[in-house]
Amino acid sequence: MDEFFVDSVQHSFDGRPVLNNVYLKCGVGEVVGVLGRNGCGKSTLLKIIFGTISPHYKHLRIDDKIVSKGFLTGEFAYLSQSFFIPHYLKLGVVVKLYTNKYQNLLLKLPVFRDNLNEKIGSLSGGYRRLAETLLMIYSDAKYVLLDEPFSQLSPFLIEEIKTNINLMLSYKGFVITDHYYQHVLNYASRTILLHNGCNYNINNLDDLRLHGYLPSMLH
Amino acid sequence: MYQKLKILYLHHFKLVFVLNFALSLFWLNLFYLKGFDKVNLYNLAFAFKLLGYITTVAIEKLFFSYRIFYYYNLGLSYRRILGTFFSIEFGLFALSLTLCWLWMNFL
Repeated sequence: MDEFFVDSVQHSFDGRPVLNNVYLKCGVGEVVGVLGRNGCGKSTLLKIIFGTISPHYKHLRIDDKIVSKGFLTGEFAYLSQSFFIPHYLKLGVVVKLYTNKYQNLLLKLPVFRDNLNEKIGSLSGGYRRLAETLLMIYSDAKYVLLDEPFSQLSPFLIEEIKTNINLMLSYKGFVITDHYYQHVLNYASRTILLHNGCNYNINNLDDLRLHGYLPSMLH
Repeated sequence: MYQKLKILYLHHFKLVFVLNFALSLFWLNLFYLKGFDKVNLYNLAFAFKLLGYITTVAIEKLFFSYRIFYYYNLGLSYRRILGTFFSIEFGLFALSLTLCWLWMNFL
């Protein structure tokens, strides 16, 4: 079974509960959207799955195997909110580091094809973010966790990311969090909302209004 | 996996490797001058090597927040990266010590 699920996630910061019995499942071929207000625990949930935050309790299962830290399996890639690849590395080097199976596909993309000998720090902020996102999408990991991949990107680059996710969708599962809720709602196969530490299934904008994510007068 | 480690060491650990290896050469020189039969010299050498590794970990900790996702997205933990690095470095120290001892005793 090509899917992972995390269950009974409980975590708190300084005694304040952030996640309480949260459940998330994602299979290959799926894009799961995670929405929520600032500070509701979206990034925390992704980091718990990835393994960089140790929660009070969680049950993580990948392809029917129980694991403690996602990154140690090599099956997870996580795009953090800030740049994470050192600025002095050339794109050619990071392509070798992060990709193997899908390297040829990645090298056909203009941002890599035209800048292989450039340092990643010499790209503009948007293109650097795009490059890091594409590296995660084309990495060998089966499940890709994207933490606010659309933030501060132009609509053209957002579409580029969506196109590339679509290309890899038959090989991978994606979990996306973002505040651009319309992009997430329209694009994801399933969407959940984190609110008051719990998760709710979301099907349309009315559900978001119902749980207080959107003000009721907004259309 | 080893290809990834090789790229990481070449790009981020060159200076740390040179400093640790320089410490190894310093102790090798002391063994060469004082002889290889001094037990206390071995204790002191291992203590200083350990100090070198602790310093390496401390330096790497300074970059922890910047590099955590960079390393973890490769499927590599700090234990794996630094453990392999220290094993290689200590292996080289032990090898150079053995070669020096062989050279002094048999050549």
